[in-house]
Amino acid sequence: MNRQELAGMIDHTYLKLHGDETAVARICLEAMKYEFASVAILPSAIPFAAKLLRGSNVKVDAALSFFRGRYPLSVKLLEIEEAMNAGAQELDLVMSVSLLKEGRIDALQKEFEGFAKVAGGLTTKIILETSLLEDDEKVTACELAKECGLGFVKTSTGLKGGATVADIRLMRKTVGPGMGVKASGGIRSLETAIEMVQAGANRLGTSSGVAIVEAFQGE
Amino acid sequence: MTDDVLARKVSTSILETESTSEEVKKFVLDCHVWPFYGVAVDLINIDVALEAVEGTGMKVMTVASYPLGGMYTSVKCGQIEYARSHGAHEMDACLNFFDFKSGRYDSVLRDIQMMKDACGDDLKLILIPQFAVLTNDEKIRACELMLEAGVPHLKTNTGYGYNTLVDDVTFIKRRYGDDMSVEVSGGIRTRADAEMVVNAGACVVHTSTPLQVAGISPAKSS
Repeated sequence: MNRQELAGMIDHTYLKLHGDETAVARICLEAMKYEFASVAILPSAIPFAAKLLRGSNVKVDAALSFFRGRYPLSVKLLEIEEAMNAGAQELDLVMSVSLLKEGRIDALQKEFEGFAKVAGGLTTKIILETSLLEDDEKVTACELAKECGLGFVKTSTGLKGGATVADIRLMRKTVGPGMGVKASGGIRSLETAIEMVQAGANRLGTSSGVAIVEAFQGE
Repeated sequence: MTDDVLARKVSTSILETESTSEEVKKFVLDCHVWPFYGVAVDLINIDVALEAVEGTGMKVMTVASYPLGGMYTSVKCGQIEYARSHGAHEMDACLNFFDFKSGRYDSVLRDIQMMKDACGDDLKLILIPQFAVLTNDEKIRACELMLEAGVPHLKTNTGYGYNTLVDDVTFIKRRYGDDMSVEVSGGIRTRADAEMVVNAGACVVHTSTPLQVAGISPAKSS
């Protein structure tokens, strides 16, 4: 893996609730400079970011249902449609963890199918919030996501624990080589980023992308 | 202030990512001993919460664009319509923080107006401007926009580490008096915290530690 390959795996993440245009503009400029995969931002910032990133290879990644994912499906699907209308090109979606905890797998499947359908051809990343799940629950969610045609399984929102090497290994083993695995939450150093990639992640969600890539260059 | 007078101003919440419907029900039933002013739950738990508060007078509150305040007006209105059709009593909604901090006040005003319309007459709308990240001028600006849109109910912060200063309550009550109701959220842990903001004019105090705030055991059982 070279520096550019690493940068191309990073979703440059900015989810601070008090962020304004200046803050989001800085994130977009950094993403273009370092050639990150995307900027991952809250929906309200998407129209502004989409305008700045037009013509670049950096995608606009929407953080949807953040961060607790506790909305009725109709509301979740409405938010996806609105984010797409606003210029989102990738969709990070918090799954309904409580459905899994309640054993309502049919309802969770309906949610995942709804996400895949409304997203159309856009890349979807389903957030499991792994720190709250047992291993068998992680496997169930990964299998369901694969079955429903979602693009990535993703560990965390970043607000409830973060990615572990063990979780990434388990997720990669469950979904196989053809599906995306995104590690997020607590990835602040080059060392951790490389560990996650070696464990099977092919996308990294982090707000420390600049420092991580700069550290790579220094070696 | 007696225990049950204070308890009637205390509101709590169960808004955890992983909470099951059964856990929400149990949580609300456990509030019966007081009872409190109300309990905040997510949209998906309104039905079970309404059933569980029955006979207590406690209100069921729910939330829109919470706690990050980054959702679109149309999505917030979708959340409000869902809450309204399920019979929730109050709706706590975040302002659009990105627009507000970027100085797009026209857009913020439109967002508030749309939410107010969606609430209609039967769902009380309480707005969260997130005082912890605002300057004093911005706090006044937020209040002015709310009043212009006809929403005179303010909740200072979302919580989640965004804490409220008693000075904020004093500041708003001194300026607006009864024209703006102030609910406090964020950093209220003890009875002393709660009494301080209530004495400054707060009408409702939101806390994740209601038992420490209202007293350890209910007055009624002693």
